[in-house]
Amino acid sequence: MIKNIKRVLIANRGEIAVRIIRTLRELGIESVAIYSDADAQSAHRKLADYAVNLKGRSSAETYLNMDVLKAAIENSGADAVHPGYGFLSEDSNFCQMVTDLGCKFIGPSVASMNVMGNKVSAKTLMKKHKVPTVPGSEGEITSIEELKTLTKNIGFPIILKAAAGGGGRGMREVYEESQLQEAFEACSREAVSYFGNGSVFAERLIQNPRHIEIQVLCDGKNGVHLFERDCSVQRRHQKLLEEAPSKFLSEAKRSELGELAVKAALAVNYEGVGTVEFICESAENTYFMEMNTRIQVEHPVTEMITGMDLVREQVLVADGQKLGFQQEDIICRGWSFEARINAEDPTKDFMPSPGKIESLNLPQGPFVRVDTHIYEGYQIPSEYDSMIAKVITWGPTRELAMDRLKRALSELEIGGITTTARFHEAVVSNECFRSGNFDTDFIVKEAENLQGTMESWSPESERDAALVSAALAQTPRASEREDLHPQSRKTWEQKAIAESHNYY
Amino acid sequence: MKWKISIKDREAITVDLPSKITRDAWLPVSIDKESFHLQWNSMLRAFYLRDEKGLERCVTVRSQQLSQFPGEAQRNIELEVSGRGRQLIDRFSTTAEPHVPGSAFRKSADASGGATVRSPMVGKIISVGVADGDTVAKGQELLVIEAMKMENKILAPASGLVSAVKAKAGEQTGVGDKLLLIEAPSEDA
Repeated sequence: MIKNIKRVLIANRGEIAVRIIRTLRELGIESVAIYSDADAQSAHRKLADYAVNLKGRSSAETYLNMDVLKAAIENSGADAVHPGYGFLSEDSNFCQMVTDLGCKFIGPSVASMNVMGNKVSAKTLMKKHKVPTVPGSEGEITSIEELKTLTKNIGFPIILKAAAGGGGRGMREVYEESQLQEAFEACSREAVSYFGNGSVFAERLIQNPRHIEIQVLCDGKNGVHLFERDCSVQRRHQKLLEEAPSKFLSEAKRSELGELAVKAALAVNYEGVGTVEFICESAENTYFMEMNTRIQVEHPVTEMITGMDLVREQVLVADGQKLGFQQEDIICRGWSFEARINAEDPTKDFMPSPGKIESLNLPQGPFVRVDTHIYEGYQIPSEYDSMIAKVITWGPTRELAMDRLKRALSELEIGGITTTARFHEAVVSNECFRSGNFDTDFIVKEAENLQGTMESWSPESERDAALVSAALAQTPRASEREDLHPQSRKTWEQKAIAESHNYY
Repeated sequence: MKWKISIKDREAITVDLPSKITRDAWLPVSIDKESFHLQWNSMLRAFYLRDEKGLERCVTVRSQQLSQFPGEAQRNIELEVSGRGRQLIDRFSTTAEPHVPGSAFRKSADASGGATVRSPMVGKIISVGVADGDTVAKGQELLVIEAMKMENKILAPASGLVSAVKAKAGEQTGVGDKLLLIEAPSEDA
């Protein structure tokens, strides 16, 4: 089945590393994990066939350090590298380095990554291929005069973006002409300091859109789409709960966007899996936003509705194989949800809640999938992301998939830390969410209702809570907590706020 | 041992537990004078309540965090429990204190009986809006603490007379630091 790839190094950690190793094992390919000193107890190290230690604890010293990664790849004897998501997965320099070592990078070529990584060049190329884009500037904007002329045509509000930006940074919304000058200067400054590239472009600001993304899979010459995912439940541009397909799209619009996405990907001779993001002003007006050239956190919902293993397809394409199917072979069945379980307290403004997993009971049963790297006794390292698990469910209808998610979450027990499970329960109980009629402003608009649900309880439960409280209070040092060093807890909180998991 | 459990502004619930909680054994308990048998099943990590007919009901705990400040008998507990119908998990912030009639502990927890206001976070005190001798109403803003570039208002947990104000604007504060005391208004006020 597999012709060339024999050993793959996974340049990542946590849940996605575990996820990738599983597919590699099914394919009969050997896996090499890399782990930082902070990750010595991590599940991906155990699951892999081989492992390489990276000295240090911070991301900068380890998973983002190109020099130590180069040595690790060389020493491991790997003939391919899977980048996962985040870290260096969309860094074309990393892709180049891997390729120069004679290894196969499991993902697109350096050239396609470069085009799609720059928002201006991606948009220009899309226009050339007649993929609709948000009305805005033709390429970069170099002066305030140019910007003023543009706003005469497209009106306000507009959004200024750094061409090399991403993850919600380097963007500025402008609502009237008086703010224009200041915003332009500030955006250029930020573009230089954050991304080392001062280019800025402008487009019409689409307020409260739906965030819809199309999964594509290409072998460089041919491509198919695997329908859409709706990631509209976001908090400060961070996705929390995703679903596939989207209730927002009609059957016709679904095929139309799918075809556009494949066209967009093939315009750069794309190889492997990728995601084309669309911004939807209304069901009719949808525009190309950007392309993510990696596997995504929320890929399991697509796997659930199509029955395809996306990591497997990625590896097969990287192995030099042609796609073994056509568009009509891919059928969308039912509905799927993914709830991201983060070590954060949703009732306290998503304040990070690091610590040790003192007890753990993961949901199981019909149509439930849990992707995670945590186990009982695991100390969540404060150096990395706060996502600790993904709870995924499937159902023949949206309602049933939602009820299953609710049921699955009710089985989840994670002792010692607070998680976002409570938030997801509030969302799937929310009328607006259940109706399917929501946009990216959902969390803000429904904040009070969600908070209310999270903090409310059935009166009969009060006595249960009182009983458990008394029992916990009486058990001396019930949990025998090994509290985190206050400094490390603080570092994580500050880092999490600063970065807000910008990678995904 | 008797415990007084306060949940938000509800009337406190009295729970009477045996002095020693033996794992896996059925123990007599009473909640507000209603009697049950309780088992803490350590393997299942669940509490079981059994009524007089022998019907058992499971109470599971999704997560719990217990904190106790030095020198106080009162324990604050963040809790997610599920016990009825198991459909939704309920989240509580409860306060547990030993129920000892006439003891010195009494004034710390009861919302109407005054309270010590402590800093819930590490941060810098931006402003203090009250002084010794002020009368405050429950929910009134007492002071503002800045942490992680956010200003957090600290509200009065109870009505009463402000005393022993230790908080000063511009000073750093840590979790659990005493900020001020609110004394209960006298009965005839």
